[in-house]
Parts: sequence; C-alpha cells; structure tokens
Amino acid sequence: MIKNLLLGAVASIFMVSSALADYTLIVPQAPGKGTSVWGEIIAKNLEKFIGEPVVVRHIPGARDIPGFNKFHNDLRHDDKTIMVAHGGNGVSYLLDKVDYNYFDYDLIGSMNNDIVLGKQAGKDEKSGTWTIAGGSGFEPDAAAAAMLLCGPQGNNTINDYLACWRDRVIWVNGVSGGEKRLGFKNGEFDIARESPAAWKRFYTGIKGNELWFTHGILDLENNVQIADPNFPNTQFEDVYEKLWGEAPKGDLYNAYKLTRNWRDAIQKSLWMNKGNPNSAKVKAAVTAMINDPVASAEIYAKTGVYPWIQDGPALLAALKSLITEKALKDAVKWNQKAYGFPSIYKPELLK
Amino acid sequence: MDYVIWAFIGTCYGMLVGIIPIAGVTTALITVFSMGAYFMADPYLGLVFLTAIVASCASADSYTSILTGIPGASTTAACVIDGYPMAKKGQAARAMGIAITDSTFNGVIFAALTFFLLPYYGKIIVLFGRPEFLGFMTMALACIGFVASKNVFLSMCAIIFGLCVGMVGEDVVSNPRLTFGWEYLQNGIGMVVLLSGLFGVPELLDGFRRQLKSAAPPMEGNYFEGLKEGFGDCRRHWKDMVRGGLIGFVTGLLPGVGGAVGDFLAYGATKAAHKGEKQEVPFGEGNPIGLLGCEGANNAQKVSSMIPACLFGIPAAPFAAMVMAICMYFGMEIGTPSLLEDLQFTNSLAFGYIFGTIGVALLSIFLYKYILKILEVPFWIYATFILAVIVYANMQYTGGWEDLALLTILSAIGCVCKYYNISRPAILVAYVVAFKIDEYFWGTLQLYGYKQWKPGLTSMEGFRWTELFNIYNHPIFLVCIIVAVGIFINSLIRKDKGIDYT
Repeated sequence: MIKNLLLGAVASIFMVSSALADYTLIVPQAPGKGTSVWGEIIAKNLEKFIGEPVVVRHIPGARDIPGFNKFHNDLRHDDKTIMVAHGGNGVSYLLDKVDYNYFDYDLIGSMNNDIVLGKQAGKDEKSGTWTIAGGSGFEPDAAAAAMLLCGPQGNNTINDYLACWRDRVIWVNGVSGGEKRLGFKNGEFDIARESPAAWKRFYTGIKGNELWFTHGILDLENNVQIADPNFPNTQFEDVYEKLWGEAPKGDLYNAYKLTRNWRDAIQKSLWMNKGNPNSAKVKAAVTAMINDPVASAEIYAKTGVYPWIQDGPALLAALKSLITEKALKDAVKWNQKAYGFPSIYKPELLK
Repeated sequence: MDYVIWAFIGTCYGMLVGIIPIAGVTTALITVFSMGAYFMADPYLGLVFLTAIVASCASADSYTSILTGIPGASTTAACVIDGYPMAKKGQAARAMGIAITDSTFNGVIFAALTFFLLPYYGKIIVLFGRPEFLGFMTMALACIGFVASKNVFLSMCAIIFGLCVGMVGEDVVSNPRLTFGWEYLQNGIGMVVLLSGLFGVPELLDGFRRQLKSAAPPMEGNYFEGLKEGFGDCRRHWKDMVRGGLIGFVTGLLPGVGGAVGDFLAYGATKAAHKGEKQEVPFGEGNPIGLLGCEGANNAQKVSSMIPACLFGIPAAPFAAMVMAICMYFGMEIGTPSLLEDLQFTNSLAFGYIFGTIGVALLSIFLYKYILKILEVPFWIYATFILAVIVYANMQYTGGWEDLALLTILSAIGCVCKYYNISRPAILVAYVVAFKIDEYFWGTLQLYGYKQWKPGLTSMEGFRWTELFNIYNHPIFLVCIIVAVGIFINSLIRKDKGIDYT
C-alpha cells in the first residue's frame, strides 16, 4: 500500500510541477467570483500577446485582502508575477488593515468601470422605510443611496446622515449577489446593485424595477467624474440635483467620492512590482490585447464596454488627491456606524 | 458540434469511472474539476460535459455492482443484493439487460420531468424571503436525521462538526471566524476539498487497504439473448421499475438524503409489493424483480437531486455539491432564479444528462467485453491515478502548500469517519446549511427587529415577533419550522429501525 501511495504522490507532484507556467496572475479570490472569472479571461487572452503561458493562482481570504498582502510581502519580487485587483481592494486600502500599497507598483492596466443601482419602480425617495441588502464593496453605493433618501441634512455632517439612515433604512448584512437579485425581485429589498454587464443581463426589460443612478466614470485627463456613456443621464450627482434641487455636498458626499473613485477607477486592474523588468513587455501585451477585437469582445462581455487606463502615475495622483484627513475619518465613521464594518482610520495614507 | 463531442467525452469518462469499483460520480467530478478553466469561455459546454458524466457514471456504477458484487458507488449498493447472485448463476447478460433498460428508462423520463420543468420550479423561489429561507434551511438541517447513524452521540458529533466546518471563514460583516489564526481559512473551506477529503480519498484508501480485486464471474449462454431476456423482464414488471424510479426521485428531492437511501427504500418497497407471492427465485438470491425494483432509483435520484441544488443551493447528495462547486467556478450562482430563467442553463443540463444516459446504455450493450476487461485491471493502478488527479484538482485552488495540508487534514477526518461509521453525508449537509442558516438568521433579525447591524444578541427589545410568526405573512416559514421539528423528532425516534445508511 505504501508503495502505491508513493507512486500516487510522485505522479501528483509531477502533474502539479508540469502545470507551473511562466507568468502568474494572482487573484485574491476563490474561483468563480467576479474578479476570478475576469482574471481567467485575461490570462487566456494575454498569453497570446505575451507569447508565454499565463496561469491564474487564487489566494482567497477575508475581504480579498490576504492574496494582495501576499503579493506585496512576497510574490511581487518575482519578475513574472502580476496582481489582479478589484475595486474592493481599493476601498480596503483606505479603510482596512492591509499591507499592500498601490504606490509601490506599476500599473499595467485598469478598467475604469461603474456600478448600476436600481430601485423598486415608483418608490418615493422622500418617504417611507427602505430595505437595503449590503455587503463588502457596497460602501459608496449605500452612501449615495443615503444621500438620495435623506437629501440635504442640517450641516450635512456624518452624524446628520447617520440619524436619517437609522430612521429610514433597514440594512441587511451579508447577502450574496444572487440573493440580492431574488430579494429585489420579490420586494424584500428596495435597491438592486449590479455591475453594468449584470444589470443589462438580469434587469433590462423586467417590470417592477427602474434604473436609479450610476456613479459615472473618471475622466482622468481632467480629473473629474463624467457620465457613463453606457448609461447617459444617470450619474448620481445629476439624479440628486434633479430630486433635491441642489448639488450634493457635505461630509458624506466627500467620503462617498473618496471610496467611489478608489473602487471604480481601479475596479479591475493589473499591477506589477515597481521597476519590474517585465512591466513594459506586459503592458505592451495588455495594450495589444485591448486593441484586439476578439480578445476585447470576450473581456467586455464580462464587464461591459469601459475604457482602460494605463497611465499609472496620473491615475494614482488623481486618486491620492481625494484623500484628506476629514474625508478619510468620515468614511471610516460611516462604515462603522452605518454598516457595522470593522473599518480603521489610517493616518499614514495622508503622507 | 462541440456540445455533442463534449457530451460524448463526458459519457465515456463517466462510464470508465463508474465501472471502477468504489469510485462513483463524486470522484469522477472531483477529478475533472481542474478542467474548469478550459470551459470558462463557454460554461454551458462545461455543464453538458458534467451532466453527461453524472448520467453515465450513475448507470455504469450499477454494472459494477451487478458484475462484481462490489458497489460501483454507495448509491448502487442495493443492486448487489439480487444483481450479483444473478451474475454468479451465469445470468450476467440478463442482469445487464435489466440494468440498462431500467437506468435508461428512469434516467430519461425523470430528466425530462426535472430539467424541462426547472424554469417553472423557479417561480416557487420568488416566494422565498429571508424568513422562508431560514425555515427551509432549518428543515434541511432536520433531514440530517435520515442520514445520521444509529449512534446518537456520533450523529451529534457529525452534525456539530459539519456546522463548525461550514462556519469557518467570515461572519456576515466579514470578521474572521473559526480560522484559528490561519489566514488561508478566512475564505472558508471549499466544497471540492471537503468532498475530496470526506469521500474521495477515504474510499480509495479503503480499496488499497482491502487490496480490492474485482472480476466478473463467467457468463453462460449467448450475450444478446441474455440482454433480450433482461429487456423482457423490464417490460413484464414495468410497474416495479416505475415505482423504483419514483422513490428515487422523491428521495433525491430531500436535502442531504440522496445517497444509498433511495435504492434501499426502492428495494424494500419492491419486496413489500410482492409479499406473499410465490417467487421463482427468492429475493436476495438473484431475483430479477429485486434488481429492477431498485436499479432505476439511482438514476432518478441523481436527476432530482439537482432540483434542491438549483432552487435553493442545497445539494441533496455529495455529487450535487460537486456540480454546484463547479458551477460556482464557472461564475454561475446556483440557487438563484436568474439562473433558472436561463434557458441555455436548463437545456445544457437536460442535453448532457439525456445524452449521457442513452449514450452509456448503447456503449454498454456493444462494449460489454471491454467492461469485463476493465474490471480485471488491478485496483491499485487506476486508484493511484485517481488519487493523483484528486490531489492535482485540489491544488488548483491556490496552488500553495495549504491546499495539500487541508486535503490531508480532511482526508484523515474522512478516514476516521468511515472507520467509526460517523455519517459523512450528515457532515456535508450540516456544512452546506451552516453558513446559510447564519446568514438568513441575521437577515431575519435585521428585517424584523434590529434595522441595523448589532453584533451579538444583545437585546430582543423591539423585535416584531407577531409580524414574523404570522401565518398570513409567512406561511412557508411556519410550515417549514413545524415540518422541521416533526422530521427531526421522528428521525431520532425511529433511528433504531431500518437500515443504517452510513
């Protein structure tokens, strides 16, 4: 029996080692989740343009942080390791205890994406209780929803909005994407929240729901948020102004902008260690992949058609400009008090 | 054309693994898990491949049970009772004729009933909110009583262990839970590694330990004449065949029950139906009616197990858990109405299953000689290969040493459970239900009392009990809770009777 078991072990080690490839995409999620599927599609297409095999390695963990931490502390020093990060990692960079730091890496490419919010058709923002199913990654969406439900509040401080939130919102934690859809469909929840591709797939043409707002996308050249060309006239700021007769402002709005852009502008992104000798080669391969109609069609089928950003220094400078002590502290407070998340204030981000 | 090619490959592979003693559908699916990335661009192709494997493996498992007396999988153990004595008497071809007809008939009929109606079943799920799901999950947990062993202490250990495994990872606000400081566990314990550890590896190691040898007894007479006789048996006793399928179908619907229960119930029902009748050959000594009464239950149960998996995300059997795991790998959220409304999803399931069922029947008729040859291959050769593939499949998760460590730990636990008759299906169901119960419990609390998250049950003040426990507001919730209590008490009271399915 021992002999046979050893044979099995040798065979398995052979099979595993033969699967080791040159380039590795580190995905901080378990297989099957949104960014994992995106990573698999990117790996499959990217290897055609790099000219070498690309494999995916999943390193899952709480809030998708451990995988990125492992990249930062260990794997990034490998010349052929690429990090696949998502918007949730961006929010965690601001609000959770993490080791990774975007300023230590070269941006290879980032999809400048959006999130779509729907509501029960005809539901009046200005009255009644709203039931919202939340979860990690939902931070900017629920903050925007709170502003739309509450409108201008006293001095527009976080405490003002918290009082309104407690009065108007039933917040249900830990609901998965599919169950949010089910809960929205059977009227248990009042808000739907989807990626643009999922919105088109699951909600277009279905009665009972209406597109409420989108966040828009970052115009990097002018460092402003602009309307999403896939969903014109739906940007949060426009919807708010139309509803309340004035532009959104105040502490929650600043905290919202901070988390929104740190999530959406790097919602699906690829990073390599700063100064990595292969960065230029991989970046060129990504550019070729984006310009290839077959590869890009496969990617856009998953995400919707959104522009890529490859100018890392400009993107990080734009994101950095949103980090102020006040906005950061307010975002932490809102996360803790409104959602119950264990967020922390990190003064080192101000440096 | 790709769909036909992959359905055919799935049928052949499922048949091959099915023929191998002890390795069943779950093992077959674990070994193909590492192919998931190939189907990422077209997950429906992957679904066709998977369901063809499930269907053909379910049928081929029976052939091994009949020809060698060693169950191809636990789900076909009942076929050994009358099937193997028939083979020993030189009636292997007749027994194969019964098995092929019964499996194909019940497989196709119940696949059609299940998959073509699946989108309509989906309308039921829209009636479910947090409280309804909580009630249903509680009912699923109560069904564990069916698959728990007769030993109440060991059963409780299995259930508590399963619940703990299911809770590993994060709580609903993303705080680490039961990870013992091991970061790797923060994402929870995956279905693939759990199934490999609890079921895949222990069965293979057990085969090594017993130095399993399998060979079919010699057959008398003309093979095709024997097959024809078997077809004739099915025609004459079609009612027994349909009854077996129906019992298998119903047991497949019960969360976690699946496994061998359906087959043994069907066998028992067949015996009961013919009680008092004079039999040419007594039951248990090679009675064709005994074989055809239980054979199709396995195929019907396989297909109906997909209903709770697709509707509620609760696997009715280990193989269904594996199908769910692979679907999740493809990014498909099993247990959501949007997936059930996806006609390509249900069509892929139906096509793969029906193709696999019919395909394996035809292959079995014409490749019988080669089936016998495969059965003569020493167990250690294919078991070593399967073990290697299981290890490889599990290392697809992160590729790190942690994958191997967790597989080793869970395999050790699986072996202990097998040795001491601790119910592994009970662990599996408790594992699946644990996280969902937690989620729906807090969801219900927040909807009916807390409004916003509060850690721990600090106060029930303001909780709207009457609104929640109101028959007009939540009839499904209340019925589920009452049924759950009834099932649990009944299953524990009757634990000393019947068969120990562990």
